[in-house]
Amino acid sequence: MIEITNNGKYALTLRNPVMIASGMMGFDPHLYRNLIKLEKLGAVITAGITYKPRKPANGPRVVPVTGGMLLHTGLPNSGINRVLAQYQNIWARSPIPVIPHIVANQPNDVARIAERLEGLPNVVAIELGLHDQAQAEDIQALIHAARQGSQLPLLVKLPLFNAIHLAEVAAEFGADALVIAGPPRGTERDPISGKLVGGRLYGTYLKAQTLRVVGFLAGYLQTPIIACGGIHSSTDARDYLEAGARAVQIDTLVWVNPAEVEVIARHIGGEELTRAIGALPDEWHPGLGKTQLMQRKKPASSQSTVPPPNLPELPLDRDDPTMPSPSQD
Amino acid sequence: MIRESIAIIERVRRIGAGWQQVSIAVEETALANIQPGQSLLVRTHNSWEPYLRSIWVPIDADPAQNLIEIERPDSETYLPDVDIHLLGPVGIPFSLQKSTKNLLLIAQDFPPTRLRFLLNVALRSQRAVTVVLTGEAKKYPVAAFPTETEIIYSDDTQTWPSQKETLLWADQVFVVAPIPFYELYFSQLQQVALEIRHALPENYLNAVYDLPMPCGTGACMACMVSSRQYTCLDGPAFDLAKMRF
Repeated sequence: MIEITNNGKYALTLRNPVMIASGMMGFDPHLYRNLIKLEKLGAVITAGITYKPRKPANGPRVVPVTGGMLLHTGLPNSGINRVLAQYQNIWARSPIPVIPHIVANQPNDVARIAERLEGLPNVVAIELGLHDQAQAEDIQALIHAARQGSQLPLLVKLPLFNAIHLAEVAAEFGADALVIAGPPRGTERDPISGKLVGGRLYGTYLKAQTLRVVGFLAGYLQTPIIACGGIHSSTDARDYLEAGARAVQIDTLVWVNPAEVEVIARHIGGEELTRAIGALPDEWHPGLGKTQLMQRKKPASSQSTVPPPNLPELPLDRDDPTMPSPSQD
Repeated sequence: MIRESIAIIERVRRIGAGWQQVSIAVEETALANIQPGQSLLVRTHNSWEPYLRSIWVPIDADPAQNLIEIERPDSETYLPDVDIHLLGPVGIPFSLQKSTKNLLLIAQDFPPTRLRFLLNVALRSQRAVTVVLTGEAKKYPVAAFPTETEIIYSDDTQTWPSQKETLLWADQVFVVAPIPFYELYFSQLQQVALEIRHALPENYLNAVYDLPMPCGTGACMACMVSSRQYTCLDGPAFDLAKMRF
């Protein structure tokens, strides 16, 4: 088990330091049950929850940018009451712990939402998402409100633009861990409608910026840091851990290449094993069926159930823990 | 149920001005049983540019051969024997009623690609099919359509000769329209249909949404058409009798 927060009254420990960032699996981790072995992950953070319902944004919601995307959904959700009515039992059955994400607007709302989340089965912490314009006094009020409503460990997600200025304040007022960082805001022209669209930016390029902030903050803060932004490989995740993060959250990689999420969780979670002698490429990369496809390319007469010994292999830095290692033979 | 898999491009051929047909061999028979309305999210390369998967819309499928036929713009280059990564099938099949004998497919200012699989299935089951092409859709190479298809072109507006008669003739209608005007087109057609039918029967007038789908699972909420409905989970076709604009 990995200690995500410091020991104490509000301690959070998870099986794996790799989590799914807010909203990447919506409100229901089971949406990905056929694409990712959920039990290999540490936890999943839900999409943002508000006290009252919010409608989806009008107009274009997705704009491609170089190496990433801009997303403008309006944080639609049906409000805490309906969200719980719809998903509470789903969260309880989730194979991994669930961390609801509260959209931090009004302290009163935050306190009421936090209160409703207290004591729910399989809900192990709360993530409080601060908006870009949050000031020190706002943070104090919002963290205080969350603490009033719930005794669950409190993760505070800071906006990337202000993370360096706000981190110390959030830590001082009682955040159990800081999530660095929320996706930055951007504006881009939608090529289809021709309109300028503002929204949250995601993509590979975020890692360099976020890694800098994580490294800076980890150098002097005692509060644990969870890194989030642009992770698209095990190397990206390791870079964050090396910079001082205690855990990582994966964002849009979940959408664009879900199989890689499982690989990262396997590597960072310490489940990497030696590849078994004779393991086929698709046993090494579970679920992709490379061997069968290569067989299909051969003439029908040469097809057999046993792959040829000189079958080209995929890179050797992966493992399927379901395969026995040589030492187990 | 959506799954991730690999497919091989087996054949690429040009089907007319601006379009090519790509045959892909899929690994799973379940995927080859893809139905009209469902689509695939495809990554054809190992780089992160473009970042999002492309939406590939099947125009036919052969489960016996594990083959799916895809239509793509000919501005893109595909080579046979190349692996591609798929997520799918995304969405639920079009609800083609057993009682439907006359099917009207309307491509309003938008290529009819999303309707072609339905066209093929309907013709194979001995139904009469009329395709209406308006605006930009009139540039589509109709030689690709089976010969039994009746094709009607619009005039300079978004209406076509005998619009009300064709809507009355049809037992079911499926319509595609482009972002960002789809709500306008769908609501106009809804109004015309309401004038001649007074109340729209269930499953009669179906709007086919072609919205970007970053995830295909309903997680990203980018393809919501209402507070509770997603194009990738509940669509792409939505009954216009139940839609409010």
